[in-house]
Order: sequence, then structure tokens, then C-alpha cells
Amino acid sequence: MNNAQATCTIVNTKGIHGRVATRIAEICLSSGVTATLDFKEEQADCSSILDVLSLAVTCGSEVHITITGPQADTVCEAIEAVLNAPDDP
Amino acid sequence: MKTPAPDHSYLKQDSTRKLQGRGVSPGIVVGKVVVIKRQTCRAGRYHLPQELAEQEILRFKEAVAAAEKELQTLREQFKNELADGLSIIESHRLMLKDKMLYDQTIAFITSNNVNADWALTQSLTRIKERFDHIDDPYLKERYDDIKHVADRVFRLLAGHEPYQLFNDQEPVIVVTNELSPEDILQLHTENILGFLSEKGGITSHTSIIARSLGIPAVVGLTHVTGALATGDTIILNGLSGQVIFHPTHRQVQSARQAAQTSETLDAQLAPYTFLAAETFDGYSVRLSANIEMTAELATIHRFGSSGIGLFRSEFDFFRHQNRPDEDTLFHTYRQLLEAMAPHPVTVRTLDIGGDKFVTTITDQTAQFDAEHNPALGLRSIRFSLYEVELFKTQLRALLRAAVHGRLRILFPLVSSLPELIETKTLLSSLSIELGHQNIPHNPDVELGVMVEVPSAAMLADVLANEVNFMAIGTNDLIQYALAVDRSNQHVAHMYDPYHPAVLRMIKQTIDGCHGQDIPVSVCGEIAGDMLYALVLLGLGVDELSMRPNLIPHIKRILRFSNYNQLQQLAQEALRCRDGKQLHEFLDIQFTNLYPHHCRFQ
Repeated sequence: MNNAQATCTIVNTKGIHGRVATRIAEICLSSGVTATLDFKEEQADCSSILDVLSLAVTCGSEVHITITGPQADTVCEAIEAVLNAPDDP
Repeated sequence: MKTPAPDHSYLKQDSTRKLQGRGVSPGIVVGKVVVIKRQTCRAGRYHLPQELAEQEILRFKEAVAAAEKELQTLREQFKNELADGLSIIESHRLMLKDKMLYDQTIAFITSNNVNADWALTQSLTRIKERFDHIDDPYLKERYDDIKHVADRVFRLLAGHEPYQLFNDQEPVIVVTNELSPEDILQLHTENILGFLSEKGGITSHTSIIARSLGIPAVVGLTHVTGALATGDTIILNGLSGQVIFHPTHRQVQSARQAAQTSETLDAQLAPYTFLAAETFDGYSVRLSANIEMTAELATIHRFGSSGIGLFRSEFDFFRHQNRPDEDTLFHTYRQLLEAMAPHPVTVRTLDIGGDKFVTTITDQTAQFDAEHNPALGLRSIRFSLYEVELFKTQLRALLRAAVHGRLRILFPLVSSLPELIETKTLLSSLSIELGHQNIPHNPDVELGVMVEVPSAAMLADVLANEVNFMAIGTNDLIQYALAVDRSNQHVAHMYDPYHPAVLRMIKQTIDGCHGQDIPVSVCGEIAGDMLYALVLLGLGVDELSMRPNLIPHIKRILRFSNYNQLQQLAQEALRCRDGKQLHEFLDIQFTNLYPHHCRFQ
């Protein structure tokens, strides 16, 4: 079982909104990894759009991703790319 | 047409009543309504014997699977047409199986031995509690998506068929509080006569779709889904925004005739489109257009407009996810100026506040959603002076664009002289800044004040001394002068453009401007009202700015007018003591002056 971690600063002006959360959930569900997103004191399961949305991560915030599972590094890079993008996926 | 007496009959169900909404897509239709009210179902709690819990979970899973299938079908159906719509459907499809909704509901059924509907309600309540803690309004609004998704499952659990909006062969008018993206995709447009929506402005989903389909639509009538039931008949005027509930037989006939007349009239008006806008004794005025996006430029030319009297500049600010940059705005303004040359283009600076989309472009330092009285709050020029960086971007873009044509900058909702001076000072400093940066710009661009509040009308002569022109925005002026919110059905009948106080304020403004030798325009809805236009012309207004398709109507009337007669008419109109009297007076005068003209409604 592989692990991967990353820290990102959100630059999308709308924060982690519906489309971003949806794309992250799609990546997690299709790759079979366990992924969590840490923001302030809270943690959300990346496969749940609602969990991620309810973190209410706004533009400029820093979040931490932790991935466990097969191809954790690849999945981590894919999620990082979504979180680091200024535009919607 | 007789003026209706003040109408208090709205208190009675099924009685005829007129309401004023915002017309966003023109056309007159009469028809039965289908009311679609979106709301989260609330099922009662039923205790189940433990052995039935598994069966209940299965029932829930089947409902979710059916919902998923519905969404997949929609996605397939529209995969080649709607990129944005598809991503929303995909997001909704994932939400169906989201652990906070799906797993949580199953856990509730198991642990409490309850029915799936109630368990789903509990899951939804928990999600709502979490979303209630979100401060960011945009993210908070995503709860609406979850509601749409849950509604679909509730409906399937209840055994209801999918929304069959148009089962009947008979075309209907769709009345709704809001439509989900999927609802919009499911509409069979050949059976829709018109749209009437509680929410929404010119850029709402309903409005955009209605315009693109050429279906008459009125938006912004709150509580309308409660006031109408499926099967009720209404008349909807997508041009004026007026809606008549439970019309009388006579009103229906008259509306049908008006719809037909409107088509005939369009043909009759064609020869006038490109003639000069002047009376037969040589008094000329400028007839210009109100628009909100560059895509409307072609329409303007088609209707023979001689300029843009009001460009509502908000579209650029919420078309983009981020606040638009200076170059984007510059290109929009330059495009307008080049397309309209040599005619003037009047750009009204940002006129927002209190609306949800503001949060996407501000620094979020102000809590707009917390305003108790947004109409009297941080909006328009007040908002611009508060969010000054945003305002500077727009002003710099305007100054730069002004070298490409005749630009007029219009400041909305100015209510005092110091506010105007502050704005002008800011503009001068930006002009100097552009000069230092060697960026081409026009420091002598024409400036104007939009008269929308009584204080500006009373101070017209003072404000006129500081600007090059003024524009009377009657929609807001009426609201503020009469203290009436026309979207509130309980007071909408009191929103009366013909109220003598409104007419006197207009006169005072015109006199104030002419005393300082500057021109004045009217750019509210009354500018395109044939009866009102007669008085405005008689009072000496220099420009009428209206929806482009109304221009030929007003131009034809103008060309059959004698200016001296219009001046006399205006003086007599000023003596009317109430709105009804004024309307009746103008109605009679119109018939006398123009016996061979039919009037559009």
C-alpha cells in the first residue's frame, strides 16, 4: 500500500466548489484510493463531494491531501493539479 | 384602454389581478399554466419491524438507482449539446451515491428501523446543518444542488413519475420558483408558450433559455407559485413584464388581439425604422437603445437606434468567474463604440449590490447578504466607491475606450453632490495616472448622473452644473419616490409611473438640466411607453432610451406629432391629481391626436 501527501494553496477564486469537488471525487472513486483533505481542524473524505464542499475551502486557503492506496503518487499528482488550477476542471 | 382602479382584489383567490414583473423575453401569450414548485419533500416517520429494514434499504437503493438512470438518460440525450449542463448532471449523479447522503440514509434506516423517506430527510438535515455553517455564499448555495438531487429520490420513493411537464397536447405557460438544470433540459419547448419565474433576473437560467428559444418570459414575481395553480389561465406580456391572473374573457380577447396587432404593427413599422426621429414641425430627439451585452448590437442596428442610451455594464462582471480585468472591459467598451460610431454610447458604471453574484467579484469584505434593506444599502455608486479597486478597473477601461468613439459615462444612484465630486475626483486621478503611463485615453469624456432617487431630482440643477448630461432612470425613481417594491404582490398595484409626483420629479429634473444647458434623457421603461413618451417629449426631454424593438413604435408616433401640441399636452398632464386621471387623460389625447394608430401593449 502506497502513501502520498501534498499541500496546496487554493487559487480558484470560488474556492473548492462543486466542479472541483466533483472532479476530485471522480479521481478517487475511479482509482480506488482512500484520500482525505485536511483544512484547519477538519478533515473530509475526498470521495464525498458533500464532505469536501462542507469544508468550505475558500480562495487563498491552504489544504493538505493524504492518499493511501495503489498508485497513490499518481492520484496525488492528479488531485494536486485540480487543486492548484486557477480555472475549473 | 382604461386605467385600472387601485386593485385590492389580490386578497381574493381566483379574482382577476395584474402584477408587474420583469419582462425578459418579449411577446404576449394567453394560456393555462403548469406550476412547478421545487421543494424538499418532508415525509413522516414510520417505525418498521426490524425484519423489514432490509427491504426498506432495498427500496431506497432502487430509488437511487432509478434516479441515477434518469440522470444518465439525460446525459446521453444532451451529450453533444451542453457541456456545462453535462458537468452539473455528472456532479448530481455522484451526489446520489455520496456517503453523506447514501450511506448515511442506509445507516439511519438500520439503526432506527425507520422508513427510507424519513431517513433521507434526516441525512439532508445533517448536511444542511453543516452547510449552514459555511460563510462563503457561493459555496453555501451548493446546498441547492443537494436538494435537487434529494428531491429526485424523494419523488421516486413516493412512486411519482418524473416531472411530466407537458403531458398535454395543449401548450402551457410554465410557472416556477426555480428550475434545476435537469428540468430545463427536460422541457419540450414546442409545448411552452411562456415562462413565469419567481426568481431570476436577465441572466437567470430561465431568462437566457427563454430568449434563446424566443419564448416570452417574465421573471421576478415572488410568491407566484403559491398564487397560481396548474390549470389557471394567465396573460403574460414578456415585453412590459405585466402578468394578468385569471383574466376576464374581455382581457383574453384583447390580449389575443394585441398579440396579433403586435405582429401586424411590426410590419407597418418597418418603413419608419431608418427615418429621422423628429416631429413634422421639425423638433428632433434622440431615440436610443438600452442593452446589456455586445451580442445585442445587431438588434440595435435593425431597429434604427441612434446610439446606446444605457449600457448596463454588469454582464462582464458576472460572466467571468473572476473579476474581469481592465483589458476585457476595454474591449467590450471599444467594441460598442466602434459599432455605434458616430452615435454616442452611454455606459452606466457597475450597478449592483445585495445580489448574490457580487460575492464572486468583491474582496468579500462586505456582508451583502446580511443587509436588511438592500434597496437602501450598499449598491450602485455607493458599492463602486466602497469596492474602489474594482471601480478603478472599470473607470480606467472606460477612459481608454473613450478614444474610440463618443463615450458617455453614467454614474448610477447618485444621491448627493459630495458623492458625485468624490467620483469625479477619482476619475481625474485615474486620467492623470494613465497619462503618466503613456496609455492613450480621453480625459474629456462626457460624464452624467443617473437620476434615480428623489434627492437627485430635487438637486438636478446643482448636479447638472457638474456633468455633461443626465439620464432619468424611472424604474428606480418610481420605487424610491413612492416607496413601493413592484415585485411585492401586496403593494405592486401601487407602483404607478403615472403618479403625479413622479411626473413632477421628471419635470423638475428636465428643468434643472436645461437651466444648466445640458441634455437630459429618460431611460426607464416609461421611455418606451407610447402614452408617457408624449408627455416626456412635451416636457422637452432630449433623448428617450428604450428596448431596441420599441424604437420604431415611438419613432412613428413622433413623426406624426406636432411639438406645440405635445407641449400643451404636457402642461395639462401636470395638472392631473392622480395616476388614474393622468392615464385616462393621455389615453383620450392619444386617440384624438393619432386616430389611425393602434397602440401596442
